[in-house]
Amino acid sequence: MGVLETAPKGNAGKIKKNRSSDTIMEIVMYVISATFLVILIYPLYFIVIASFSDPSAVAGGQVWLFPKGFTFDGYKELLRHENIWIGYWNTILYTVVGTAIGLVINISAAYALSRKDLVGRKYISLFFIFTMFFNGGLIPTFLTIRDFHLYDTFLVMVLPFSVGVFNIIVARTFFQTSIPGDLWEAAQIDGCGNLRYFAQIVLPLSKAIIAVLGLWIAVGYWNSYFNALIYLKNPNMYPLQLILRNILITNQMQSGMGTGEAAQIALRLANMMRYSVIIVATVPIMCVYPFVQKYFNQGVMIGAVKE
Amino acid sequence: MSQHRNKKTAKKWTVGLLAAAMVFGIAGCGGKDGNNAATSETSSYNKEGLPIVNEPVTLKVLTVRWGSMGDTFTQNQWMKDLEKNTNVKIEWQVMSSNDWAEQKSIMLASGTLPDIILGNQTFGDSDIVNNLSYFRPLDDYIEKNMPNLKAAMEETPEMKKISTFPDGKIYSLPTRLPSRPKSSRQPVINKTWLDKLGLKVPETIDELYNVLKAFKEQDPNGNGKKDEIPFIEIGNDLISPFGIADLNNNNMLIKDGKAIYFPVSEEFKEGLKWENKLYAEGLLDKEVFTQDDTMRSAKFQNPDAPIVGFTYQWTPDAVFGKWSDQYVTIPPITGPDGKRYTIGNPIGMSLNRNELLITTSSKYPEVAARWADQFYTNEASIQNFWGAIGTVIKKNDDSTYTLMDPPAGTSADAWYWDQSLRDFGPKYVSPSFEQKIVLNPESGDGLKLQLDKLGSEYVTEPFPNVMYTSEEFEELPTLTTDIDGYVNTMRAQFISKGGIDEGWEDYVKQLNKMGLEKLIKIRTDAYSRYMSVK
Amino acid sequence: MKSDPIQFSRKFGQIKQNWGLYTLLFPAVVLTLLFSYKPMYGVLIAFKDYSPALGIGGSPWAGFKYFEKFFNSYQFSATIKNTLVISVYSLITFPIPIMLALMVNQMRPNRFRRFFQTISYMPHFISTVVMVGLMMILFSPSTGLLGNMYSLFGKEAPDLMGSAGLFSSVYVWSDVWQHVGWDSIIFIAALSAVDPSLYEAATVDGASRMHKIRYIDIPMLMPTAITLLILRVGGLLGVGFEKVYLMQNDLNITSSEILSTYVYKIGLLSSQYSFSSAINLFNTVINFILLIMVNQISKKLSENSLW
Repeated sequence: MGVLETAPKGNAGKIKKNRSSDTIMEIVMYVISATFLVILIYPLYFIVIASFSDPSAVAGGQVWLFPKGFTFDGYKELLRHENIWIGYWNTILYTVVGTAIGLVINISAAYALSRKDLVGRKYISLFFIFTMFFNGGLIPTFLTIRDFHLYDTFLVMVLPFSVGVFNIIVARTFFQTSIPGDLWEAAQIDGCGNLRYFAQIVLPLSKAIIAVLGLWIAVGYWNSYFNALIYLKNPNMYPLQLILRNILITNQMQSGMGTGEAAQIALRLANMMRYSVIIVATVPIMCVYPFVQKYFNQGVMIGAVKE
Repeated sequence: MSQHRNKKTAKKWTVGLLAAAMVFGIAGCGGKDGNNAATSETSSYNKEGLPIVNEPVTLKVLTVRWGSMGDTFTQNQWMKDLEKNTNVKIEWQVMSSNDWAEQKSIMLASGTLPDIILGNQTFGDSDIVNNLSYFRPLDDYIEKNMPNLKAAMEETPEMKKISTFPDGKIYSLPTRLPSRPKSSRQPVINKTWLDKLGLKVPETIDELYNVLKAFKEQDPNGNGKKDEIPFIEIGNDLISPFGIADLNNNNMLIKDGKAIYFPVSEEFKEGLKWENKLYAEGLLDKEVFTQDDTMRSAKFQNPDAPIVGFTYQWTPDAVFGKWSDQYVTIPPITGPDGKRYTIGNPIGMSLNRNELLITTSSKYPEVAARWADQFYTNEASIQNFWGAIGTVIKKNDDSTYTLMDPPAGTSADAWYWDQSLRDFGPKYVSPSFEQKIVLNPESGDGLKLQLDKLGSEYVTEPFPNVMYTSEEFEELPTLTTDIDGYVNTMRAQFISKGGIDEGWEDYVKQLNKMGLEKLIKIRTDAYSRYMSVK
Repeated sequence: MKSDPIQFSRKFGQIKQNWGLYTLLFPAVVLTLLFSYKPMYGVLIAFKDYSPALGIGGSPWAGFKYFEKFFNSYQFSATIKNTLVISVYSLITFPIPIMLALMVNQMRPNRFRRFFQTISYMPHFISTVVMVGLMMILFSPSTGLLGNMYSLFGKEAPDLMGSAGLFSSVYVWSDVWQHVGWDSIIFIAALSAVDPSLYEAATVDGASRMHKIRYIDIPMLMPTAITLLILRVGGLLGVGFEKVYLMQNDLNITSSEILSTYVYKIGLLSSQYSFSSAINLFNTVINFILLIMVNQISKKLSENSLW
């Protein structure tokens, strides 16, 4: 890795001095992170108490530290919509299958592109990067999907848009920095082919990036509604976010409905559910994080593998 | 050397790509049906009477509903009877307004349109004008196959006026809704506060100013806090006493039969000064330009005490939640010229176009036209506006019609939306038939009609809902986005920061630079076209 | 490529030997070809008077009409300027997630660290609509948290949402708040790839924490950071539309009208497909040129590049 050459050579006195500077730094660090934590937590806490409060009290700025006009109405009203459960199921399905497909496709491509001995590497990279900037737009893409008979199918939700160029680039960079090139040379001498080397040596060393990509892709699927909006017709296939969106958006209704009363009611209900929706829609995906998180915290023993 | 090579490859690459794009482009344009003008009739089609067809025919009908309202209206008994009596089966395609903007462009581009498009929020003027080849001109059908609509257009010529397109043909069918008021939003004041402070209902803008001042300073809600907001604005209502009553939000007015763009008028300037005065003294909600619907509605329904003194509303009942008893609607405020004005339409706000379109891809245009004509009778119209007779409407022995009470826990308006097409779709209720509809004056449409009497005689003629050509539609969005956007920005500036006299000249100059003249020309051309339809 | 037969056969040999890598790339390439390149003829819409009924092929050519219209439009310079102000401003905040990652990495792997990490990434899940709603409520000068804090000291709070001058700050810092934890995940993952034996060796050599950060952690993060930075610069004109649009009002519009909101108003709201595609294409081309430039600079200075 060659970083150590530039690190300072120490002696006993230096170590002592550094110890005390380390303690100061530790204190500074915890003060900063504690302050930061407060700034982060308050609005989140606000969302939780707001979800149990009278919506006009929330919007009127009367909810501070405790819920005001404590009520479960937001949740009750939300769960009255039975198609939420169908939405949950669909979203889980799309997220699980889509993440699996996305991981396989993107990690494989990223690894191949990380290898300096790949002939045409530069052009293949450009081939992908070009699509981050230029696209045909909604209408031609829709016509393409329709011509492949993917419109209103399960597959359209998990396959056509599973190539994430951003993900590929980030993972490629990770492979380049963390998998040493001489590892492949050693494996080659042992008679190991590319595919076996990738599966048995590279992947186990890359849990952290797999975890990050998995999280990114999964959260992307979890939060997405636009593809469903365009490419699905059957409401029984709608993901959760699309269903929630239809329950919550009432602005247009306001301006459109002169008669008013029904619009007022829709607005009131939407306000009531505004915060409970966040809780209901995000708690499940947030539960995934701790499982992923543990892969970030452990160092990778590349040295051990090499021996 | 290597640089040079790269460039060359890149160039080749681009050319290749372009070539590929061309090939695909050409491939992409095929597969569209030509203008299917030939009228293919089924042998079982009946020119008059029911059923329309002897053998059942299925028509696809597309409509858009608000939010998550769904398709419960299709269970309306009148709709079911219609299917039985006409032998025309309907396959409904019901979309949500939230998703429609995106879905619309795709539907138009893919060219797979159903037989009938229903409801005026499905396709707007520009969608129709820019894609005329998708839609059938309906003049002949109206003449030959739609006796109800034909009679309606003779009785109410505006029906024809609003639905005539710039090429002189009718592509979309109009509606005339029952029991609509003449006035839009009307002034609403907290009567409890007035009484408590011993003030009378304000008649002029000076009196209004004094009332608002008293609301601000004398703690009318009695909670010891200065939390009163004397005035909360919903739209551009506060300048209506100055003669500016803009129903269709297009910044246009009709004055002495001429269309004028009012944001450069003296009246508008005076109105801004008055609003600036109120704003500076804290009589106008400070957050008027930044808040969203949620925050505004929270102010109206503030849980501890009412905090709003004066506003403009359709009806006061639903807006203020538990405080609605305190609020009353009052007559319009007299302006500086001694006259009263109200936003609305003297012929009633009941007319709309684009309620029904028949596509060129439909194989049964006559069937569709005759099906649509069934909606243009009085009884059909009220049942599509509130709900079926027997479910929502009660027909009395003296041949008047009353509305039943909604089931417990449901609001009347929400119930009507559940039971009928409500605002959307073709309808015609004749002015004479309207007399037979007896509504409850305590709530909803009945209440509005009641309140309407306070303002209806002062309603000014609005700039009508005119129609533009496709050339005009090309210019219009950029012009209005720029110009109306600038007007709104400057209005906010003028009201919140003042400097109206000093800034006025630059403001007008800037508008002219942005192409105001062109905008006015487009608007006035369209207006004279509209007026010339006989 | 040079027509040198020896080099050619060497390349060919390399391709043959690395067939496994091409297999790994295959799915991503095919999907990109089918669903990104095939619809790309859609860029032609920008050069045509597009009418859906006529289709892309059948619509008449418009040449550069719509580009000229945009360049001559009153909004042209204002929207470009506003877009640049916001994106350059947020580019300055780019190092913040890196600092957060370095800090988290210094924490001992205990409960506080896990808690801190989980909390810091939660705001990412708040939908934009709710986020902006929350800002309106908390920043309201009359009823919000901010207003009440100011009134404690007898002062009047600034109207953050209604000020043109403060718009970019409010936009950028609320974005930092919402996404800093999420954006730091990739850096935390990259740091987990550091071989722990490096730290041990550094401690023996008497290196302080600061030294370790400087000589081990930061070099480890550099490639990822530079890659992401290049991509960010390539997205300079692509400031997202939704949040800005929701934050817009008549008071701040002079600094909040950006390219994407302008395109939305003219394009989607009034069906001006050709005009909005022209603006989009202009935006894309500029972004792509920027990307190529930054990539070249980076290649020269740091040997990191996207292709």
